[in-house]
Formats: sequence, C-alpha cells, structure tokens
Amino acid sequence: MAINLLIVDDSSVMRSMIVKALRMSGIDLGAIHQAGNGKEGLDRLDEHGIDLAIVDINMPVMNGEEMIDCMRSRSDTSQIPVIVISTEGSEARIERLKEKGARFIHKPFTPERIRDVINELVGRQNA
Amino acid sequence: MRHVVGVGDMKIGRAGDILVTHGLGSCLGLMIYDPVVKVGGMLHAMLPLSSINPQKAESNPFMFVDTGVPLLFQELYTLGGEKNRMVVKAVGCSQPADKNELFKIGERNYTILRKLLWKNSILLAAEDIGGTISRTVFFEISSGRTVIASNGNERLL
Amino acid sequence: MPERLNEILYRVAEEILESLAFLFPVLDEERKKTSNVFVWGASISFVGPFSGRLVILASETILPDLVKNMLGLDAGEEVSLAQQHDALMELLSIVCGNVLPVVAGKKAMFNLDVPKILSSEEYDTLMKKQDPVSQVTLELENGQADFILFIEEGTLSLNSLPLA
Repeated sequence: MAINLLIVDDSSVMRSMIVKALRMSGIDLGAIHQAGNGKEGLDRLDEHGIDLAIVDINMPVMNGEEMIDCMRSRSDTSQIPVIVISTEGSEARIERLKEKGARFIHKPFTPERIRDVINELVGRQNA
Repeated sequence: MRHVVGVGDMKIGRAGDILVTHGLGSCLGLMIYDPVVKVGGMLHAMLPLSSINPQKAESNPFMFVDTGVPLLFQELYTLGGEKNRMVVKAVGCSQPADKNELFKIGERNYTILRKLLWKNSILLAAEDIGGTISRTVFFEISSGRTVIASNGNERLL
Repeated sequence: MPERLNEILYRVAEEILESLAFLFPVLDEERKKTSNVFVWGASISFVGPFSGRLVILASETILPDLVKNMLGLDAGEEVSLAQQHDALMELLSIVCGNVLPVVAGKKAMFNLDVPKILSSEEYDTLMKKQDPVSQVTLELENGQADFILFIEEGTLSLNSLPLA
C-alpha cells in the first residue's frame, strides 16, 4: 500500500535530498508533502492524510521537537510514525526524541540508512 | 571458470564463473550482479579521478573510479542487465596503518563511488570498506555470492 | 589549543564536505586557478556550555558544485542562487552540528539557531568585534571554503578537547 509522506526541513535542498533517497528506497510511495518549519508541518497534517513524517529539529517559527510534541498531544496525529533527520549530537536530546516515539537518523545521512529505517517502520506497520 | 581481476582491471562473468581480485588495499573493488540474467562484473580501480591523468584514463579507464564504474554498468546493460535489478557491493578503500596519509586515496575512491551511485540513484546492497586491512574478494556469478578474505579469515558479504 | 581546535574543525568540515557533497581538498596543482572570485558568507549561532557562532566563507565558484552534488544533478544543469545559498547554509548547519559534540562531548546540549547569509559588512563587524578561536581553510578544486569559529560566551577547556 502506498505511503503518504510529510517532509519538514527549512532547507529545500535537504528536502529534495530526502525525497531522492525515499525514491531510491524501494518503498511504495504515495503523495510527498513538504513544509519549511514545524508550524507549516502541522498545517500539512491538517490538510492531508499522512502516514509518516520526516522532521528536522532546528527550524524557524516552530522547531521539530515542538512539532512532535504537538503531534503527540492530538488524537488524530499521535500515532503517526516520525523519523527525525538532524545534526543533533546530544545523547540526552536524542534519547528524549526516541522517548517521544521518533526514530533518529543523523545528518549527513546515507540513502541506505533511510532505506533501512523506512523498511523497518513499514515492516512494523505491516506486521 | 575462475578469472582474476588485476589492479586497474575489470572483468565480466556469467553463470559458472568466479571473479577474483587480490590485494585490495586503498583500491575500490566493485561487484555488480543481475540475478535474473545471471551476469556480473568486478572492477578493481586504483584512483578516484581520471582528471589527474586523462591520457592514462583513455588507455585504461578501469584504473579510475569515475571512468571504470560507469563502464562496468554499461557493459552489464549490453549483456541484458537491468539497473533496477542490479545488486551492487563495494569492498576495499582502506588506508595505511599509519594514519598520516597525505592523499587519502582509499577514502576518496569511496567518495567518488558514492557520488556516482547517488547521481544514478543506486543503493549499495552491502559494503566492506575502510580500516587498514588488505582484502581478497571471490565473486560467484551463478549466485552473486561474495566472499571476502583478509588476515586468514573469510566472511560472506 | 588553537592548533588542536583547528585540527578538529578541519577534520569535521572535511568529513562533512566529502559525505554530504562528495567534495574534498585537493593539492595545489589540482586546483583551478582563479582570481578575484566573489565570496559568499553564512553564519550560524549556537547556545550551550559555551556560545558563539560558526561562519563559512566560500568562493562562489564552489557553490554550483555543492548544490549539484547534494542533489545528484548532472554537471551541465543550472542551479539558482537561492539553491546555492540554501546548500551553503545547510552545509554550515551540518558542520556546526557535528563539530560541537566533538569539542564539547556528547553529553553537552547545544541549541542551534537557523543559519543565515552574512553580508560582507556583517562579517567585517564580526571580525572587528572579536578574534576567532579557530579558523581553517579547505582548498577545493574550484575554490576554497573557510570555516571560522567565534566563542562569545563561556570558555573552551583545553582538557575537554579530545585527543587525536
């Protein structure tokens, strides 16, 4: 079944890189929506059915962690899987994000890492 | 039949062939395999960029990663291989035990490979890269099975 | 300490440039000779156990390659100035995010601001205000990229820097 994705990053070049890696991953992709900050990301979630969100942390207006907190507080978005793709290097913050149910991919990423995490998540969904 | 791939060399094989290359240090060993038509190829490239010696690249494109890798893919396409079926594995690109290497050849061989794969939207199925060891690779075309030997040990890639 | 810090900043910047954009420092004879090349700057601030900013100054001649390599485009494709600035800022952001844990350790927590393009006036003001604690130059094939680290609050401890 095709998966509808949301990519949230303030860099449009980075969003394009993530889209490219997703297309290489072999998963069945549906619609890919994009946003430049956490607030826009929440708007996209309101507008579209999203199966998986890929989120950066350092963004203007609303950062990625704030966006994830909002998602988790709403019944309609609390169960949407999230992958954080970030340069975050603090062990404590990464652990905090994982406790909020997010998977973590460090920047710079390889497309193989994206494939492996996505396949694990999709595999889990299908199980 | 067993075929040896030398330094700055590339060979193609079909079912029943085994391609072998020895002494992969900083060089890149690249194995590509199409499991449907059962053709595969192995490249043993020494240096990252052909621009440092265009004349040499013309006489032996397999010496360089940026000329050898595309040629290996093209050769497999002419034999019926298809990009979306290709299984690609990379080995080698190690560095000297003394880490103060000026030219970082191994790292740069790997970087240029990754650049080519990214540009062409190709994922690596497996890799055994880096470190300070020298590797020997056995690549069985009938199955795509790739075995790496180093320091008296063998492992499946 | 400056030498050790310079080594760390150089190594991290080199690793990021290679893995993100497949660019690496080359020897002098491999570089394309250019003169009077315009330089673009970007800056990113951070707050944590010590606070400051990391600045990048990059020859405009390397920016198209930066974008094309990050996006996997062919050499002949056109890229906009907006994309070049975006890629420059993203590169800076990733270098900053990766160098701070190497310097301060993984237990340290930093908040990074969003990067921004720096005008030459802003850069001159910055340099007049204080000396950088670290400055490195990566000589690439088509130009160079300088990374400059300023500490505005707090201090780096010599003992906290990782060994080579």
